[in-house]
Amino acid sequence: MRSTLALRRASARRAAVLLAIWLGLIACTALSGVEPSADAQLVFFDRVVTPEAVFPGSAQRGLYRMLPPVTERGRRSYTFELDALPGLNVARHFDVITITWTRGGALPAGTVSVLPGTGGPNGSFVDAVARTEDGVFEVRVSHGRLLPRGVDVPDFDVVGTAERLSLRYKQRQGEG
Amino acid sequence: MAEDYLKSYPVDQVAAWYLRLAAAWEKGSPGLKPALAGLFLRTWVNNRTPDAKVEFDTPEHIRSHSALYAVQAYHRDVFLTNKKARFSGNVEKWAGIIPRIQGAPGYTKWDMRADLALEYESLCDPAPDLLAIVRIERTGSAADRDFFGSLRGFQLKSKVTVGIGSLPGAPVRILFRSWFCSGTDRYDWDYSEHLTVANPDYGSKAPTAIRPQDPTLTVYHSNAKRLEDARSAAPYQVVLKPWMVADARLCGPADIDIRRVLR
Repeated sequence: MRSTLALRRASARRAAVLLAIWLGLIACTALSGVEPSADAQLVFFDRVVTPEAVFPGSAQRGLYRMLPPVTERGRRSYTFELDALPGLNVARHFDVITITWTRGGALPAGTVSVLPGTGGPNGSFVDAVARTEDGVFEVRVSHGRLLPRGVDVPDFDVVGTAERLSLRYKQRQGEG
Repeated sequence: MAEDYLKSYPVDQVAAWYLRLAAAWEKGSPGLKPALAGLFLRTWVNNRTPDAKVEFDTPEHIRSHSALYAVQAYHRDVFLTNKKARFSGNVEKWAGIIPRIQGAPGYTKWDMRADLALEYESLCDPAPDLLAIVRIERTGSAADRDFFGSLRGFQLKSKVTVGIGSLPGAPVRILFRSWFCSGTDRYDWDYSEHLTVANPDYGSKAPTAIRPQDPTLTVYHSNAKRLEDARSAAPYQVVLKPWMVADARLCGPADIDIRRVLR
């Protein structure tokens, strides 16, 4: 009888501990936001990053095609690549824009920064990073480019795009 | 069409701007020792002799890069006659150890007593297609980007010495007694091309700063020509000094069938 009671007490204690852990996990999730890989969050980011949001001008937008978004290493990425325009050597030249959402970040919330990038005779990369106002996510706008003379493509504003997407994140959140 | 702002500045000011760009690229990748993209650019500005051969140590992030390993693994297969060697003119043919053991036409017969020295060179490109460039931009590390910026498409040479690890018979065990790699490339600009970089002068108050109000600048390589014509920069031959390869996946022994018919 005593041993049965002890067992019941032990299982009750175990249940209470499990319940506490479960409630703790729920509380943590609610407090810290959702991973960008969660389904609902993917749909949310797919509404934030659209060709119209990345290229406000229709002429520039018409030059790029959007690749299917991907989720890798907990990051949601959207890539736009320049169409094979006349004069472009596709084996060498490229113009690629990637938007990547990551949780957290090193920047103060609500700020944007341009990174030093890198490059050389065979192309370059430049990035701007914005931290959302709520501090939950960071959006990185990367632009890789090497183009020949005669391929007239407007300049792409990495900083303005990072700011705009951070703002759209806030607006879409407000819409619920 | 993006504006060519650099063309309106004097050569000396643009040369100094390129040096600040090189410094920014180096500073932007503090974990790389050194960041080659910045080092190569700085060397171009400081060089005055277009036929100069400038030697560099190959940093660890290049030596251990998967793109480099893939080419070394191909070289091993060529040495072991597992894969055909590619030669200029789109020619592929068997090379390496087996044709030498068999005394095939065009090869000095190897009697398998003394060690045999072999070398082979082929293209190493961390971004052979657009998909690779997208991958580097999307999830690439600082090392991936530095490799791309400095050595997108260079010649990687492997020099090995091999010997026999067992009595001749079939199969024969091949031992790699030594393996050294080196590389060559030309650091020059196609003057008809352009790219976009983060402006190192962004936010600068210096009177010589270029477009400090712009976070990024489009750089037309006609400006590189302007510098070179004014002898304020010069292209050069990049030479990656030889380094010893010790990766057991590459240098480990292998058994080969010396009677294999090569066709």
